Amino acid sequence: MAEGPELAGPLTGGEASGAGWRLSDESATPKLLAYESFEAAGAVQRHLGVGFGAAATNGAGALVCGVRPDEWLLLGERTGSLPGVTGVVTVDLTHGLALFRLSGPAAPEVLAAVCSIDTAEAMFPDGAVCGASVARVACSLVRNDVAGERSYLMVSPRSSGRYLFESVRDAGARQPPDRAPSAPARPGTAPPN
Amino acid sequence: MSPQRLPARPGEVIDRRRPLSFTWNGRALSGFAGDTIVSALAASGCRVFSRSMKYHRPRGILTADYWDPNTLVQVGDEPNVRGGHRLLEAHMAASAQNAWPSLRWDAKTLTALGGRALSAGFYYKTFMRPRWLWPTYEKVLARFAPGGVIDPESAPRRHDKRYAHPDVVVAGGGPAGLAAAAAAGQAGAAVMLVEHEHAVGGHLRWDGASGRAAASELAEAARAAGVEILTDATVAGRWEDNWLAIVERAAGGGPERLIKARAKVLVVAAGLIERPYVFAGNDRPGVMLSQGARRLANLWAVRPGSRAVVFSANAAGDAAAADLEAAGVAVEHVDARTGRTVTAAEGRRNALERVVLSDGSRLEADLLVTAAGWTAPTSLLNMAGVRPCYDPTAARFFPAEPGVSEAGAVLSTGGISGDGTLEAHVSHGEATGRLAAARAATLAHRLRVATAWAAPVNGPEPPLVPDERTPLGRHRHPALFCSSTDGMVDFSEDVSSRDLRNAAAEGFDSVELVKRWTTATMGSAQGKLETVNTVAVLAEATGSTISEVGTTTWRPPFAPVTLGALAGRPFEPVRVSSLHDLHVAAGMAPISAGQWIRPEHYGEPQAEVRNVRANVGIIDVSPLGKLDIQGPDATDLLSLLYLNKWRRLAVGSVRYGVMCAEDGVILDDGVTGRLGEDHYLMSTTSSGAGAVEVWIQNWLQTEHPDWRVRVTPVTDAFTSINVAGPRSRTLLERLTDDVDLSPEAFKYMQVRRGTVAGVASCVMWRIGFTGELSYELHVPAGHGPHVWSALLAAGGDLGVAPFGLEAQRVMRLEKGHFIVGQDTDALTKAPTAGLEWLIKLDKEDFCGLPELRWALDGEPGGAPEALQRLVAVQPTDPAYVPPEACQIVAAGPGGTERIIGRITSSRYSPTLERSICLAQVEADHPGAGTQLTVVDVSGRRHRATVMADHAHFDPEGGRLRG
Repeated sequence: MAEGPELAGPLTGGEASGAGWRLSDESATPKLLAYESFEAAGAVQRHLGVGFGAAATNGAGALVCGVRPDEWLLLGERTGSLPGVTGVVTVDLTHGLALFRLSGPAAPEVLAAVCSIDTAEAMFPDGAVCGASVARVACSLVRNDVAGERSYLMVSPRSSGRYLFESVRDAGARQPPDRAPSAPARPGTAPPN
Repeated sequence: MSPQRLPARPGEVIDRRRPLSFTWNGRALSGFAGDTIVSALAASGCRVFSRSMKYHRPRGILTADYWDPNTLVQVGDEPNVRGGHRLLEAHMAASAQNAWPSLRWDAKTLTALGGRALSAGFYYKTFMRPRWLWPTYEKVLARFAPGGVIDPESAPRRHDKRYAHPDVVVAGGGPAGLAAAAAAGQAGAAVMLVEHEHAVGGHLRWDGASGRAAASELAEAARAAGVEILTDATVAGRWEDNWLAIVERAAGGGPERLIKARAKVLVVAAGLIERPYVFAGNDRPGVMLSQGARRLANLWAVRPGSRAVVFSANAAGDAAAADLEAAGVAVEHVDARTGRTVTAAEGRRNALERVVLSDGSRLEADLLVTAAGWTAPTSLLNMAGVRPCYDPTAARFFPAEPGVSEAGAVLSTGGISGDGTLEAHVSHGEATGRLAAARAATLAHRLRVATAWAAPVNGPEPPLVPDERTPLGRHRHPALFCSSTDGMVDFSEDVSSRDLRNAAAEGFDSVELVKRWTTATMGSAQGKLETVNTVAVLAEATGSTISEVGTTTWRPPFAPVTLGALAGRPFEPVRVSSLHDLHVAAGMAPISAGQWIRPEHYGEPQAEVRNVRANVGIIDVSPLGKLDIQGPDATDLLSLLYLNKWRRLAVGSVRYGVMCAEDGVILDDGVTGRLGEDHYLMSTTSSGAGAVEVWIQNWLQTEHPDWRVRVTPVTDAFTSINVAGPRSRTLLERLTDDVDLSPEAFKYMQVRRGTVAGVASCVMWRIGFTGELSYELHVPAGHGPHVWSALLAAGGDLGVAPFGLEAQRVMRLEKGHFIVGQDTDALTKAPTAGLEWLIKLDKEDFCGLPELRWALDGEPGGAPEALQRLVAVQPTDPAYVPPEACQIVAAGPGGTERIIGRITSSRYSPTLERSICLAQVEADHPGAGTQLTVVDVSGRRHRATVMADHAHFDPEGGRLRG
């Protein structure tokens, strides 16, 4: 039997955008949490090839995110197969987690209104993962650029998803165009001539 | 053209093509875009802007900038607006503060008649006695409170927050700050420059054509280097590791914003602030500082007077004299460097008429400009641990160790660090910027190694670059603080040099004590104008040197910050289940339960109870905490956490458990189902979900890291629906075809996994918090709305209807089920709740075992602990529902009463048609039939009876197990 008749994200069809940023709801993406093996220390990390604080796409197209030293979140996969590795616990969290993508050149500015993480290229490059408070919601934050465009994934508990989406959307809406990083300096910042 | 407005001048910041109309105390006036409130008023001929705080003396412009203590005004519903800084806006309604009935005729001036008696400490000394009169004193004094008026009906203002992680923050956009920012940016650092004024350039903005050109060039270099420039913004505070609070004051029409910046290096380039000179009448309108006069004339094309005396001890004063002459003001130059000083400013009413000099001469004037010296605003450096150090040669304070603090992460440049030509300041600023960038690179490397695991950090850590800057010089400056006459030291607080000397004479010989006794330096300027003069007067009064007196401690904020800015944009997370929209559509009355928004009811909770008892109801219980527990040692974990035993729980069964902390106090409760040999699903209370997860992780990570068990919070993975009522089985049978729901196959306290309404992987528990036959469905959350709707659609003929939290609470109370946190508290041990049957003292170990053993068995040879008991109570009057938390009392000695317990839960039961309660009572009052006295909030007594069982309804549990 198929799993069910419908699979709805917390904000079905949710989409918001502004000058230089776009927020989309990707909560329907399958999500699998995998723990390190009880029996063979390091086996899961070797199999996944991703360490804590980093993310990379595996051969099956899933984004493997090292969210804890011994935990991985596989985005795009719900039945993890770790051939040859025993003592592994996996939990399908497809329904338990909301997933939002904030992208665009102004995405760091929008994020800076709700999150204290340093998103500078050197500190948080493409493929970086960290735990973060976003608008006071505990999230996993993943830098996951798409076609060279800045993009951040925010993974939160599903029940907080709607609030999180609205908070980030509101932060984007509050971004004055003249405060965007690429904008020219505001009038009045120049000394008189 | 207004009377004091000068013809167009090079460098003016007003836009004469954009006139703006506004009102001042109801009078219509006009200014130009680019004017401040004060410059527009001064251009209109206004000389008095406020009345002083204590004596209500008329006050005019002193500094014509943010720090001006004399020009705080009310703008619309906003009090205490800094008129010297706030830009004029069209239709602005400005008015004077602290005057009644008008600024010109202020009745409160009468307080000045008692000025000698109103010295520092007057309030402390006068209103101490008689103590019983204090409430009256307080009411009267409140009418004299200074400041503007708050309108509680005002619409809330917008505030915002932002985080930033620049490599370098430069505080101050004068020449040195701009040079430092540009150099740091050119060296590759991410730089944020924060300028207090509306434009960068510092004093160069009003310093002639060459100054303006230099400022323009420096600003352009900074912009070209990618520096983020914030104007009308202040670095308000600095804490450990350069955690900076930066306030952007509603720039660009946006909200006031608090920026929380973690800078790797902070460069303090706050410049110098001119300090007043103390003499008789120094607060008379018409007496102003040289920088104020220059700003008025050069930035806003305002003639500050027509006949001026310029008292100058430095080049800035000389330049002010030249600027005023160029503006058509007749100037008499008094050179302080020759030893001549000012001893008094005299006049009538609110105007200056003459200046008295130390040689006895009197000069007619309507404007007295003083240039007596500088204060280095070292606050941000002080917050980094750098003490200010007085240099008598330069007659000002300097940072004690410029460039050395907190591993080199705080630097200073510009006037705060020393004197020199513009070129010298720029050169020092550039060197500082390069040093800051280099040190930021070292600190950034450390941060990347420590936290940025996604990318390899190449190479060794760059060495921390030593400070090899050529220090700025220190120019000689006359030590001018106080004349031979007394005058105002703190204009904000009306503290005079006489007040300070009196304080010293009374024994307040420490500057910290003098500050608190007189309130000097505690006003709106926060010591920027007053500190050095306060110290100097105190030094003279105590026979000390200024170095010996030292300064007060400068703490954040550097400049006053609105409470709105500190509050910023509130983030208050809200959680909703996947059924939220359906609840809203069904007309739920919402209730906040922690972060969750839940349906309290859908219209009539009593009817919801009756429907569940008679038919079937469904309730959204998604907030129930749920933990997925897997691994070979999962059973050991449960045995450790719970009071009861778990090893023999069969797969397919669920068991109720209670957790206690080490002290035996109840922590949480819930049921846990065994889904597989090494796989459990644990439920917790809704409010305890987070705490239980932390509790478990704490045990696993600190005491049993060797256990092979993984605990995953899955609260949000499931939409949890309780289907309750005598017809619940019938309803579920219509939607389930792969689980046998017959009483024989699916018994009370069992768990099954199956398909509900076409949704696979549902977990079904047969449990009953309501006391009814019921099934708790845990449905993959994304399918929750489908299953909820299917249940309602399939059970129309069965009378199915949703019920809310209130109905559930009534039914659980009818059944006598307690709620952790409501019927228990931080002292409630498991036996109090009647859980002796659950406590298995013969287990090897569990959390709380020693305490509970002692509570149940007592010490060897002793008696059990006399714990309170949770009992069911029914008021004698069946219609009376005592409010929760009502006290229960019993007769005490001597006709008194003593508290023996409290009502913990109470409701009216529609099933029993009477009031029902749970209560905690002392150990010797729990017997069935015991009569209790309940005291309600109005003090009335009500009789109530202790029941034999916790359950008021169906104590045998026949409905539950049916």
